[in-house]
Amino acid sequence: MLVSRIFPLRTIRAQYSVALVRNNSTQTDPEHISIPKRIHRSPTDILNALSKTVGQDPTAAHYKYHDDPYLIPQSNLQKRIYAMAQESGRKAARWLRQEHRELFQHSEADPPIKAFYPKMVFTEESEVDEKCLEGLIYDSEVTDATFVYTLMQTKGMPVSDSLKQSLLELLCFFNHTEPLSPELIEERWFQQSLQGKERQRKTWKDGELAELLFTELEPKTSRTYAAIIRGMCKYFQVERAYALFQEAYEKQIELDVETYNSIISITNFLKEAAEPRWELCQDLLNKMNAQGLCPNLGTMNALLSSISSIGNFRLARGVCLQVLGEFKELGVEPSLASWYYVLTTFCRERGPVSHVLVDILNEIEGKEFTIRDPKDTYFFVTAMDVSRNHLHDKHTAKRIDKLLHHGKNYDLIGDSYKESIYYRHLFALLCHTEPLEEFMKTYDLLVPNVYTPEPGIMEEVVRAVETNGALEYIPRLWSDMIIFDHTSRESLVNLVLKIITENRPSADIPTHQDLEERFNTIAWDVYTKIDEQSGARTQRMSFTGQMLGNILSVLSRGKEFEKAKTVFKKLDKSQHQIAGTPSYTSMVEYVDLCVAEKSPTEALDCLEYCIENGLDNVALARKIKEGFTLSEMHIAKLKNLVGDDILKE
Amino acid sequence: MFLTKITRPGTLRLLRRPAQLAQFSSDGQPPSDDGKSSEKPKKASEKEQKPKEGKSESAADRLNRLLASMSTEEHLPLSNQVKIPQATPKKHKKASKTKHDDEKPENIVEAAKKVAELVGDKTRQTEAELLSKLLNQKDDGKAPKGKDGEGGELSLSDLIVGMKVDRSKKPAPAPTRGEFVRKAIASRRDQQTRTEVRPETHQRPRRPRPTQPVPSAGTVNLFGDRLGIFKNPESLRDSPDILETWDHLYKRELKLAVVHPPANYFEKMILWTEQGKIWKFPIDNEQGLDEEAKVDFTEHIFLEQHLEGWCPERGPVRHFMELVCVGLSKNPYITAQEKKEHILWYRDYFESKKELLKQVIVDQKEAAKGGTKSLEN
Repeated sequence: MLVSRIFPLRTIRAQYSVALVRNNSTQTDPEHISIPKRIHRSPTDILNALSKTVGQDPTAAHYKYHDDPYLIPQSNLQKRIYAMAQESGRKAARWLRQEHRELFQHSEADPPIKAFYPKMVFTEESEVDEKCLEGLIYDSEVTDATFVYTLMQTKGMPVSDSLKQSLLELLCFFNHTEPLSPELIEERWFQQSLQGKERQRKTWKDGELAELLFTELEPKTSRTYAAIIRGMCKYFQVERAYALFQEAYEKQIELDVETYNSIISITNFLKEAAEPRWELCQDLLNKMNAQGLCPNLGTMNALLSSISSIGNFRLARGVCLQVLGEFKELGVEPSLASWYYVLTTFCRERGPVSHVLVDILNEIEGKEFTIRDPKDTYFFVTAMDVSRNHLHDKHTAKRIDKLLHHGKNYDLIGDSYKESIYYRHLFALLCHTEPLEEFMKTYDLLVPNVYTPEPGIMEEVVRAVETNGALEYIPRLWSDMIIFDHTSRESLVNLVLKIITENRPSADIPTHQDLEERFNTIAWDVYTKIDEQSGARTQRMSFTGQMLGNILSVLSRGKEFEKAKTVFKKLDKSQHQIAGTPSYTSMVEYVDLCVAEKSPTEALDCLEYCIENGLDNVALARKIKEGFTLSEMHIAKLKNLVGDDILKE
Repeated sequence: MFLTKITRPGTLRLLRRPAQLAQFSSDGQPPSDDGKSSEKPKKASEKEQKPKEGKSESAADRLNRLLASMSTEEHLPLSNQVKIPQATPKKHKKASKTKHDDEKPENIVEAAKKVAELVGDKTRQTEAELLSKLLNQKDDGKAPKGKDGEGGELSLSDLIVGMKVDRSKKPAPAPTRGEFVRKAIASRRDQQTRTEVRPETHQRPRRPRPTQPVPSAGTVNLFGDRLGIFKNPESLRDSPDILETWDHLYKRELKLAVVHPPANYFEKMILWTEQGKIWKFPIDNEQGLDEEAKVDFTEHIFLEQHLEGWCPERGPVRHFMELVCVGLSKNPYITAQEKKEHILWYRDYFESKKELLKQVIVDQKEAAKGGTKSLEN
């Protein structure tokens, strides 16, 4: 009731204010009301608009994870496992539906939802026809399409040439391998990292159905040639692709732009040296020009990719700019992939430093991108790499980051692998160039939900903390390390131990108030972690003398006598398994603690250990003598260990 | 063990940084990574640096002492590593513009001071000029050193980092790293306030951000040259992809490359909408009923038209069929075609039973007549 009363009031007021505004703006013609034309919205437009109102919240885990403290992943491994587990559940459901499709005959939805149907299963007895094959090709079901085609062949059913052509294109595009189902989003998100390694190697399947179809199709049209050439280029069967290309050229079969693009993209395999390769590219472009073909974005990217692999730096730079200029004249807007190739051309590991990234950013800053080339997703990660390793400049890095978070550009980050490399570069760069407080702000913002630092980056962060003497961050970083499962990295653990040993928190700084206690916890934590680790682990960490010495130092300073005793016992008992000896200072600190705790037995044990391990013992013996009122037995032991001299002094 | 690892350039930069910061704010010297900056400021900076070298002797001494004290001791306390680069700016400060120069033992410095006093007028400036002249020559002979340039500094840091220092030689109460940095920052602040009072001592331009690249250094005109192959774009024809299936697959691939796990519920709904799993917006309860959409609603509701031609104008059959039509018009579950077929089934039915019906009607009439007769009677 109340609501219904309030709402009309509000609407009236709103209308009134709208009317006022209208009057002000269109005073000349107050009577005329122009009704705007209806804007046709796609089904997802309103959802997109709503989605834009939901910002990214770095304090929360990604939406895909369950909103449950026990199910929020922290480490990189957990992130992967949890997401994949969810997807695997979906996969299992799909498998069940597929295996027991007879149980799912009911149709709940009207109109029926195709995505929920079980997949068609084709056997030797299946009734197949052209329409069925067409559907399979459209849905990119490579295996089924191949099966149905062979089935139709054995049954002696005719297949039209256009359908054969379609099948040829499908097989060439996917190289006879079943693509990953579009439903498996998580799998694609975590899997694409492998693609980088697979490329640049011949993977084309020789003598398969595609080539059979190619020979069968008569007369051969430009479409037939285009399909097979593009397929061979895509999977690096370069010699045969080029041979077919020349064959088509001699037969005066006119090929299209995309096919030229494929050939250009493999020129770096056809010609080893830089000059002949560039000449070949020019030759191909001239052919296109003679044929009256207008080059497109694909041509530019193919050219740039070929140029980026030219070893001759000066030549590569020159022609790269020429290509950009030429295509600008032709009205082709470069995509992010083009800039990616420009970056790889200009910023080489051993080449001179180039600021081309700054120019590129000036060009593209504030723009929103959609994907236009598969390699578009390589831009952001490469740009960040360049600003870290090539320019060492946080300002470009920040500009890149801003661009990435502009509009829907984040979609172009690629996959989880590229995303984490991107953040790795960003973190390493900021860690080196920003003041620590600023850097820690970024750290707090992005870790752990957006990015989990790898052990290497963690080491950089810890070192930065060390250099800045900001000890107060150490406990926080240590707990992060535990969560991210970095505590099995010996170098990291040693580094933390070294820092907490060598830097004593001072009581007069407010941020250091409870640090000593926390350092004790860390040291004890390290000890128990290494001591209790199970034998099943592949890479076990073992104690070193240095490590135990550091733990001992920290614990001694914290007056944790019982714990220090345990650590020393460990050091003493398993001398033969422990590599190296602790530093002398940690021994002194332990003895000091023994003195404070009035335990001469432990102090003498320590002295004995020092003597056995060749550490300076005279000063230690003196300390023991002065620190305690020793009993007869202890004096005898001391005498036994260091001789009479000290006692006489 | 740790020391050997530390010699990576990245770490060096880290170690150097506090010194750099302090130095930067105290004298505005360009940072060491300005290898790209133009020559002019560099020269100026060299000139300015000369006074700093006034204590280079003592620096060399310190270095020698460090070298001499190298030992096999395993590790080096942190404070030692940073100490040397940190101390330099302060030294520079003193040498360049404070009056404490006379306390120093160097002959050169004292001599220079005396000369400067003789000359009078701008005593301090003369002194500085003299010193810089002297020390510049001295420096030229040697390898670049101290904070003169990246290379020099690197090598020094390298040297120090690679060294192992006997700890017994270091001053007994070594401050912790934290204290040290704090002190450095405090002193930096002091210096800053002081420099603000006397800005004329700063001739070099201050660079606001040490790591910002010089934009002019490597600017590339991205769209400068041309290949000159496609000379007249007007004559070229744009052609769509001749391979339809390939094009379709390529677009599919591009789309999948930017489909990421949805980041909120709306994105999830977008994904489901695209996969056809949920109803599209705007919601319409006849969505997807494409066949039925072709049929007008009147065909569903006004069914009497199907009675035309066979059904009697009135009478019980008519009455019955009208009721059938009303019922069918309210039925949402069957198509208009099915409704029509249903009605036509009745037509055939009544057709086949025509004789029987006629008989029944006649009988009824007669019975009715009989009834009226009896009434009349």
